[in-house]
Amino acid sequence: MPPRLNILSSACKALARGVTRPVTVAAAPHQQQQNAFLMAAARRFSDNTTSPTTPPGQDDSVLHPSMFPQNQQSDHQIALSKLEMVAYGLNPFDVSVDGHKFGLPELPIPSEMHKSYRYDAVVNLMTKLLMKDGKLAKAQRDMTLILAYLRKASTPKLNPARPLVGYAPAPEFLPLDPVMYLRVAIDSVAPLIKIRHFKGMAGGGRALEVPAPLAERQRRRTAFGWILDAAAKKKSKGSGRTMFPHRVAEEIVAVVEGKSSVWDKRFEVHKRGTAVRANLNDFRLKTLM
Amino acid sequence: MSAPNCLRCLGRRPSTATTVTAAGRCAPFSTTAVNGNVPMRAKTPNPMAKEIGFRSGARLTIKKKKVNHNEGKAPAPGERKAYRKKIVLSNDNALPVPWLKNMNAEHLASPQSAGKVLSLPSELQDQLRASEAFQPSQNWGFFRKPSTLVRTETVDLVTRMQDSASEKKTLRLVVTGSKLVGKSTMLLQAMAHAYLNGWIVIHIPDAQELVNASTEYGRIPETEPTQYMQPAYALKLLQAIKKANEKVLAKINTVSSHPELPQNIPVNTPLLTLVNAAKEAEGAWPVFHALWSELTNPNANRPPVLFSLDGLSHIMKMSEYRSPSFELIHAHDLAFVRLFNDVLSGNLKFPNGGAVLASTSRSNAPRSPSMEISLAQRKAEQAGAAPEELPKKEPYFKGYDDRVEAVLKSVEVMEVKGLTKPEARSIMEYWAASGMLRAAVDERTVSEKWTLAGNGVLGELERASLLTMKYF
Amino acid sequence: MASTTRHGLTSALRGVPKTLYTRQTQSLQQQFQSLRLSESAAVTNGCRCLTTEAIKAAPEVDLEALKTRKVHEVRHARAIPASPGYFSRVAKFNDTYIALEKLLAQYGNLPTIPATEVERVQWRTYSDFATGVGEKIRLIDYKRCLAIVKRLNQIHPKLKPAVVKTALESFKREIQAYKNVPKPIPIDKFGRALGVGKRKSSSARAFLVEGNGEVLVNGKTLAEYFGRVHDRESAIWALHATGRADKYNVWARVDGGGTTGQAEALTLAISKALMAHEPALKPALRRAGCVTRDPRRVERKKHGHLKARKSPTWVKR
Repeated sequence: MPPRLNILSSACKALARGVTRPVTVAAAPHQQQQNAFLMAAARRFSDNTTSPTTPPGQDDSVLHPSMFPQNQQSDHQIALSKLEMVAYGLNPFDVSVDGHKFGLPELPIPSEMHKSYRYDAVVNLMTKLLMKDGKLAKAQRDMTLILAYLRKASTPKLNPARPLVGYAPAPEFLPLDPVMYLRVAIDSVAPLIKIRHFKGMAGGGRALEVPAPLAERQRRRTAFGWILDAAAKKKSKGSGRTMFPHRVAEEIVAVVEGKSSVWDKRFEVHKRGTAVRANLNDFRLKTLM
Repeated sequence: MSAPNCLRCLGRRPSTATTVTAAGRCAPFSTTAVNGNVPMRAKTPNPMAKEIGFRSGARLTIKKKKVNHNEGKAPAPGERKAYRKKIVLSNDNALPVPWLKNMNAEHLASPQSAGKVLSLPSELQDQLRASEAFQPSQNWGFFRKPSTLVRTETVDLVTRMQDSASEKKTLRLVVTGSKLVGKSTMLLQAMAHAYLNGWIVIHIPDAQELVNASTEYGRIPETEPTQYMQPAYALKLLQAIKKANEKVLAKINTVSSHPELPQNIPVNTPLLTLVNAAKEAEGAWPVFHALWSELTNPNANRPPVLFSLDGLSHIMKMSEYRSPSFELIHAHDLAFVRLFNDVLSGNLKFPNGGAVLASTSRSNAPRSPSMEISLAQRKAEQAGAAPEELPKKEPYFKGYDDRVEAVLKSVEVMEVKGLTKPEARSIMEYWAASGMLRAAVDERTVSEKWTLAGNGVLGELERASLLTMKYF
Repeated sequence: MASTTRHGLTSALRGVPKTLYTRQTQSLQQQFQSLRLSESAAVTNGCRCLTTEAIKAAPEVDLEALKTRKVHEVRHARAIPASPGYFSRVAKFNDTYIALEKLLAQYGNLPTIPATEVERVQWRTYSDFATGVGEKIRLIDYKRCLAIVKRLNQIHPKLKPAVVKTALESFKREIQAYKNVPKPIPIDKFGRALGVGKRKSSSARAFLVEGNGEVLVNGKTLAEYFGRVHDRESAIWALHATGRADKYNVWARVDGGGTTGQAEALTLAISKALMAHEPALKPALRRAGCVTRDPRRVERKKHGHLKARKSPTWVKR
């Protein structure tokens, strides 16, 4: 496996970055208040609505009380503020004053609490790849069956010739965390590169093969595509709607155990990439890159 | 001038009648039908008059990629079904739960064990497996050992079973409830209790198999109205009974000789021998009948009997079998169903007490309006409703069945409901301890899953916590 | 460069030196007061012009009176516009600008309120203002003008002079979106808040009341109504994300659309009702994706297409 196949492109990027390095502007000295205000205001006028800037007449160090995070108040302070409210004739348990009844969640809330990002990124990507004809519900059911299969399948016996990714836990822990199981399987067989074909550039109508690095998502996508291809070629043992997910799950287990044909595909791509890496310096590409 | 039709031809229809025009057959003031009746002429392809539009012309055809299924040989006949019906009761990946206790004979009847998870001892597992109490749709395969949550309903049911056995009465009860709420598991727990306490258990795991014309059947001679036996099913059931109740059957002996059987079964032979007499489907029904008469013999000292059936609505309608006159046979004319219904309706009692339990099913269950209304009435009666307040039949609906209503006239109805939150917490703690639920089991998680499960429906709780794409 | 020109011009116009106030100019100015730029006409027509409507016929010259008052006879007069900015490129705008600057100089010392407390105003956009005035104003100039406007707007409302208020009026958009405040959701005497949510072609109404986590959708429990666990989760996501699944009961009516639409309509409905109970949860709910209405709908089918975008197969003839 070549260590860095994207040397050329990364070098190009680095060069490009060097040219357009942003020039840091020294902070302007303290000017007249009016001018400073005008400058500050002019920066924010793109929205054409009054923006919450600190007005010039005010000292910046004096913040509005509402700007303090409420979570940082100690119980003592909360109690004191409640007592103050009583003193002012307010109901200390009035929701309209406090704004909550059962305490506030700590912000920022974790990203998996967002409605659209509730599933693990790998699981989400794989589910979408399982989907056919836009039937997401079916794909999700398949994914749950795959994960359920992975928990029930016996502990995988690893093949030292086909090492897993670095972060993989011991095999006996994999079935207890099926999402990790899936991620390990996919990241382990994910290819690092793909071969780009430049039509007719090699002369004689042959395509010039050039290795190109893949991003993480692309790598996972490719790997799962291979796994699905391999699963499609399998024969199902039983019948019913669990068959397709079980075949995919069997393939995932086979990947972790190093028995799957997907590994051969990965080695094939890497071998080819190593063979054609010289094409990265091909003069005909220079006009393109 | 002679008539156009000769006298001999008058018997036939005149030839003009055969050529009635389309116009003649239609009302004179309507032309639509006439136009519609003009016979279609085959379209002659006219290359000049080609329509231009997006529905005509040459089409771009994209060939589908062919998938090769040639790898490996196809499973042998029956293998697919076996795979589908395979019941796995243990998972080596799951962590053993140290505090889990094995169920014993008293556990299910004691109120202290309500809300606890108990595991099934291995002998009981074999018995339950033999009587097909486990179903492939249930999620036993996630855990190291099959275990169940003892619910207050379980304790209630088992206590009633125990009471009826001690009073030598027969408990007649129908378990109802919404989908996935645990009706079959309730039967399983009742059976577990029965096995652990030395009862004899006869279980019909899926009533559908009795009525959907999938096993052979035959008339039983000298019955009025004609009844039908199902010898193949009888053999299967006898084998299940033998396997599950082997110890009990070996201990008790026959009280009468059975001359109708080809084998010689003298008095005081163990019942196990009687059951073993059925080797082939041919003689299975008489053997079953003999066993049944032994079990219901009032003069013998027998252990209590539990007769249970899952999927009640299947046997509360016409079966798919046909009589010799090619009429549908009512399910109650099938001998097995008749035996069950005799006990369920109270016409037949187990002399030494026992229980007959039926559970309704909410998936793959045909509608049986009579059963529904009867069960609703029984439920209202149990709640203390006056006779005039009971749910009434629809006066203009014709699909009711008197025979069904006669059977369900006096049964008890137990409705299984969702778990309470403490019960949900208890089972979720078991899941978490098994390593299958990766969330901290606190009040927040429990109540969230409880809500997602439609107020604690156990099967939905499993779906929401175990069969999901996220485990936190 | 042009700005300096304008600046020089305005400063010249603003601070007309005393030396220029000669007797002659003053008298000329007085005499040609009648020649005015008609403001209304200029604004409405979008062009600047000299009108004669204010010009009245001079009264008949009483020569005798003149003789007695010994006034010089006017032999020649030059028309002078009312505003000295008449000779600049953007006369109207310059006048306004100067007026604002004077107001700022006059009232800039009045106490202000924090910018967060100021009533939000939508100011007129550059193009809107420029077409209104009918002059080719430069963007940078308008921005500077608006800066002053905003500064003036920050003056404490109780102390804001009427002149300032009227001066600011011409910079406000006619339709103020910020005045369109949604009605606060009341909590009725049973402790219920009613939230309404929509998604795709579904709409949902959810009554939220403090309770123990029971949910009824169209009379069914969550599990009975939604077959997918995903949909059930979506429906109560607002409660889930804020850890309040066991604190409230929901009774909801949903109609229209399919299961996903109904579930996500419920998300919005429940989250709105929850914000009525606990307004401080809004930031958390926004981060949970429960506040914004998803406006996407089915794309309409177009003629000449088989579906919204799908074209018929191309055929050569």
